[in-house]
Amino acid sequence: MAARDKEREAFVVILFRATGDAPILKQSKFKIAAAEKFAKVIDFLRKQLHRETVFVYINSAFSPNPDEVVADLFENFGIDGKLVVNYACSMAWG
Amino acid sequence: MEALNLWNGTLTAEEFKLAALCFVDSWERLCPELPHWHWVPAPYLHRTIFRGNVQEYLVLENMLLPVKNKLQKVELSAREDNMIMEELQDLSTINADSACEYHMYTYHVIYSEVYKVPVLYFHGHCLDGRQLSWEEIQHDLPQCSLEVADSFHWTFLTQEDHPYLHHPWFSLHPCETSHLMSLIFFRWICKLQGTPLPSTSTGDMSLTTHSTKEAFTEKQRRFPEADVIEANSETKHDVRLLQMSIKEEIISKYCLTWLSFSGAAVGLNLSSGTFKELWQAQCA
Repeated sequence: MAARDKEREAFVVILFRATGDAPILKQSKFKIAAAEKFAKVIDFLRKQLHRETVFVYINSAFSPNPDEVVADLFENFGIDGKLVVNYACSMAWG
Repeated sequence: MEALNLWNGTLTAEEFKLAALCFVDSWERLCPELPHWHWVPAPYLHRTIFRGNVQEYLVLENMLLPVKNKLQKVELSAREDNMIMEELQDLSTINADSACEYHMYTYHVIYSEVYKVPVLYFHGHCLDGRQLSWEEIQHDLPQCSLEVADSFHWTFLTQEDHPYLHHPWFSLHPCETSHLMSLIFFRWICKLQGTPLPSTSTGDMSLTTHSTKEAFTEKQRRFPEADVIEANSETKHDVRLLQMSIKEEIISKYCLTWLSFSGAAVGLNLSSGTFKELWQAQCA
C-alpha cells in the first residue's frame, strides 16, 4: 500500500481529450513523472498527433504555462486521480 | 434566441469593461505582493469619445521579470575579461550591471473594436530606465514563444502603434483569440446549460465552425429536447435567465482565462496555484 502511495506521488495520470478539429488518440491515458514540466506533455502530444501546433488547456479554464511542473497542475486541477488535458490543433497565433 | 454554447469568444466594449474591473478587483485581493492592475482612461491628449464613452484600458506597470541566464553570462564575461574587470572598479559600473538582472515591463490590455477581444500591448526597460531593444525582449521571451516567433513573423508578436499613446509598442496578434476563448469555454458552458456534450471531436467541430444559425438548427436536430424548451414560453424565460447568468460568469472569468495564454506567451506567467485562487474568487 505504501509503495502504491509512493508511486502515486511520483507519477501523474494524464487523460487527453480532443476538442475542435483535433483527431482522437488511440490511447488517451498516459502516465508521466510528476516532476516533469508541462512542456514535456505538450511535446509528447505534438509527436502523437504529428502536428507542429497544438493548443492545450485544463479544466475548461486555463492554458497552463509550459514551465509549470506537472505535479503542481495535478494538485490544483486534478480530478479523480487524473489530470484532464484538453487539446485542439488550433493555432494560438498566426 | 442564441444558444450560449455557440458563443463566439468575443465581448462588447461594455462587457470587456466589466470583465476587466472584475479581474482588477480579484487580482488586488489575491496577489497583494505583485504590482496591481489598474483600469485607466486614455490620456487626455489622445482621448477620443467612442459611442459616448471615454476609452479606457487595463494597465499593469513595473512588473519585474528576471533576466534569463544572467548569472551564467556574468561569470563568463568575468573570466574572459579578467584584466578589464580589475580596472573597472568604478561603483557606477557595478550598479549598472546589477541593475540589469531584472527587466521591468509594462502591460496594457486594450479592447479591439475590430476583433472584439482584448489585445495585449507591452514594453520593457532596464532598471536604469533604458528602453529594451527587440533583441533583449526576445531574450526574455519563453522558449516556446521564440519558436512561435520564428514561424510566424507577422502574426504573433509585432511592434505597433499604441492605439492611445501613439508610440511603438509590442503587441500580441489577436486574430485567434476569440476562437481560443470559445474553445476553452465550450465544455464549461455546455455543462452549465445542461446541454449534452458532443461525444466525438467532430461533433465539437460542427458547433464551432458552422454559422450560428446552422449550428443551432444542427443542435435542435441532435438534441430534440431543445424544441420542447422553445415551445414553452415560461421555460423560455427561464432559459433566458440562465443564459444571462452564464454570460455573467463568462465575463467574470474572461480576463483571467485570456491572460493564462496571452500572458504566458510574453513571460507574464500565472502559476496554477495563483490561477486557481483567482478563479475561485471569481466564482464567489
